[in-house]
Amino acid sequence: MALPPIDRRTLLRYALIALTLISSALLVWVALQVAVLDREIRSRFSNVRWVLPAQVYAAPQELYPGLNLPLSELQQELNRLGYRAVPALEGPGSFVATAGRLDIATRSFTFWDGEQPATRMQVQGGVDGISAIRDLNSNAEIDLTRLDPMLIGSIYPSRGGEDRVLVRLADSPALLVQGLLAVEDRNFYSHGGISIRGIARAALENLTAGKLRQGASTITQQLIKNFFLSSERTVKRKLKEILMSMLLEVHYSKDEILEAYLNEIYMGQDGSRAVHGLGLASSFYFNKPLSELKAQELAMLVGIIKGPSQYDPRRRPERVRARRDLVLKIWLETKLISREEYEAAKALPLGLSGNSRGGVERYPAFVQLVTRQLREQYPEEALTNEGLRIFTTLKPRVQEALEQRLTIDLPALEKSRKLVSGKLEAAGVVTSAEGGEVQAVVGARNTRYAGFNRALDSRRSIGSLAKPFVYLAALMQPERYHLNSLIADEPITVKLSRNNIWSPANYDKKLHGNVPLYMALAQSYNLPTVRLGMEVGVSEVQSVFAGAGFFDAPALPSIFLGALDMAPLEVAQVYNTLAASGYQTPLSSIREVLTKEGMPLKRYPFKVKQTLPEGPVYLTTWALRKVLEQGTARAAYNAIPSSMALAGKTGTTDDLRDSWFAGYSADQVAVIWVGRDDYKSTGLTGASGALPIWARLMRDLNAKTLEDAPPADVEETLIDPGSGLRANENCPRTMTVPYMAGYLPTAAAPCAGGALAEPSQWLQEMFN
Amino acid sequence: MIAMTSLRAFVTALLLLTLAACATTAPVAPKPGVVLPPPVQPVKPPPTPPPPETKPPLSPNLPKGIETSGAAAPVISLVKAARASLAAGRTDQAGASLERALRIEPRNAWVWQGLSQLHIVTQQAEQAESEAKKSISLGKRNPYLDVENWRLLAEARTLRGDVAGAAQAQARHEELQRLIEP
Repeated sequence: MALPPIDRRTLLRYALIALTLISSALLVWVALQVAVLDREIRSRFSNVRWVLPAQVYAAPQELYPGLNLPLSELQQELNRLGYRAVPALEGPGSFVATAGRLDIATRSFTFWDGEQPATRMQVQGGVDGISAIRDLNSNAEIDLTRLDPMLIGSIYPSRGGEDRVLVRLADSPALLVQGLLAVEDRNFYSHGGISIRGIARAALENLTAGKLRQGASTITQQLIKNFFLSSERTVKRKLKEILMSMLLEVHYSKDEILEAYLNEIYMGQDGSRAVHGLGLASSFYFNKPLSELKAQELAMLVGIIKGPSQYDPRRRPERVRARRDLVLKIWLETKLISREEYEAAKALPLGLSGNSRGGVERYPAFVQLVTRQLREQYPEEALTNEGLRIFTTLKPRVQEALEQRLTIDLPALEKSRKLVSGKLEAAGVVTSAEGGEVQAVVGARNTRYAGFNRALDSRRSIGSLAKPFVYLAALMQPERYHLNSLIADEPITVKLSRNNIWSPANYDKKLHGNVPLYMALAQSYNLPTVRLGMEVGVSEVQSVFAGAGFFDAPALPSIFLGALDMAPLEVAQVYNTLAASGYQTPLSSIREVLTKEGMPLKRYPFKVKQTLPEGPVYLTTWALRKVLEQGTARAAYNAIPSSMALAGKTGTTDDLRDSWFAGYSADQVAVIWVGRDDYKSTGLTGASGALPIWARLMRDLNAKTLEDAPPADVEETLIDPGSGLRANENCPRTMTVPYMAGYLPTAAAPCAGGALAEPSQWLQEMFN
Repeated sequence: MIAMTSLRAFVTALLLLTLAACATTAPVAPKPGVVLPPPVQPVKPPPTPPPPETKPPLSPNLPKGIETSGAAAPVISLVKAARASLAAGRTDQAGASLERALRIEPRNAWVWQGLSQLHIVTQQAEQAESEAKKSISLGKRNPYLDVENWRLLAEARTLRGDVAGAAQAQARHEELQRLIEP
């Protein structure tokens, strides 16, 4: 059977040639594959190593002597920022609370105008606010300082977005880095990207198990997996992983790889948002920067890397605690921590931050507003990838006061009015009067809900909230109208078109005769408002709306009674112009944008333009104060102290579908809307629904009382309210009323001796 | 007592109604059920008064600058910082300091004036004009403050090409200058 020798030799030669050809082809193929992978790795690493969503910060809390921030509230602010209460000051991010003072070790922070280094300071004060601040190192008095701002969210792609907070290896706690290597990859600094022993062990295990299991991976391999590969488990993928790991090691230093790992590794899931890197994990789980974490906290983070869904600290705390303790034990064995440190750390609970959202994504409704403003100027990718730092106008204290009101008051309202529970929806906005900064936004009853944002997107009929603009249009004609002008509260018909006659009615279906102009507004009478509007003209009222910052009011008489749809934020805009004495400032939610390196990129300076005359606006505000003192919003003083002068207006729409209140103090504007998404009746007027919420909010915010400071073209005079004529000290009842200068009533009231000058005719008529 | 009061009110009302019928300008008391003349009661329009040019003795208590105005210490230091930034040409920095000051004291006329000065430098005339006006209205007629505000108004209006308005503001500025300079 043996083949002839020549044949055997020929065959051998052919075989050799074939083998050479095949192996050459294979080599070329492998080389090509390697080259492709190599390019992939280098481009990924040299360009954007990781996607960095823009980070959104709240306004920093300013601190200065004289600030009326009670120390208890300052302490709450510190808690929100994740500062630790300790018996004696530790590193940055800790504070000591004693009676009448707070010692604070602040964190350093890069603001728009430069870095503010970490300091140790003492804040003295009490319930009234801050009385003094001094530097604990130099003992010098501090004029003005600010806390680091709260991170309130980030802008990441809406679907499957990765979120992270960048950390540098050099700034990472040594225990984290050493501890991570001790658990995940002890030979990291000596291997070439893969561990032969680990692979061999995994291969053996896989053989005996009869199927593929997760093999032991080096840090480099884990990084490659996170960067490029899906989680499928095939031999091909494993080979690719090994090859890429080795290539990565050729091109980059160990420290670069480790730093990439710290920022890339998957650490958990928050809804659609993937939490990547230890920086974000630190704020997600502990609401603190990585540099402030203690041994047991670092051990937990290192522990859950193994499988963040399997070891979810919020869902499986016992399992995670066992894993954490195992990590601590390894650290003890590798002498990273002492026996005492081990025992102390092991005894402590996980200490997760109370907020399930973990210090990020706290105020989604506000972040939506910020994102919208940014999208007008930046491409989507710049927002989601480049790590911009966005400094906003949000005031956490104001935001939380607003959230608390809606959370508490809506269920209470449903209960007390015997409404179906859970059907009412609500929205609210708070702005700063001068400067037009949006301080708080709530877009839903579920205040942290990131979906439909009623404050921005729910345009509803505003009802009587429109009236002040009709009255302002009238008061801008001082030769025709003043606050005491008598307006007939009588039926009126308006011909809208040939076959369309509009005959409005008062809310109470009654007629009130002739009422002073201010009282018609205070009592929100419809008929005098329509009469006034018709007298001044629709176009005048439209232009007043435009001056206030709303440009879409239709040219219809029905706008006098608020048949125009506005979102709560738009209402805040027009009331903001009133609160700022006729100076319009477009509402803004952003102050500054910095690059991820902390370099100033863009500032949003506030813009202001006088659009409405100060005098008539002052008169309108005066009338809006009467709304609360004598009119439809009297109930406000059930909540706010009588010394607090505020201005505002109720709004109610047909069939009680919408309950509004919009109003202002000396420095803040607040708008509240309550209604149902299905447009059914709420059974609430503006006064019974939105007003009590607004009033309690103003109380909680410790609103600043409006000043009696008439502008130069306004004069005040004593009036007899019965006659609307000038009064003096002899009159039984008097009120001080502002008038446009030059248009004051000249005649004296009877009580002031005026009318007696011409008594003849009335006496005759009286006694005839 | 109530009867007395209502009687008095009634008589007063009647008295006034009658007066309204014969007099030309007297407003009318509200009294339900009585037919009234048209609701709008124009008051005798006097000539629009420009602020009268008086020279009252200046109160020695009037602050001549923000330092003595009673503003909070941090506001004063921020305004000073803004001035230094502006002098160094760092307008963004100056704006940031002034806005920070305004958040602490939103109705401080000196801070509003600082913003107006800044926006004259950055040639934002409309904004500078609004801010100077705001400073005037919040400034409680302090000539030491307003002398600069009217100068800023004159500059802003010149920038906008409003020659007449600028001349008017300049005149007011000079008047105030005479007033405060002995």
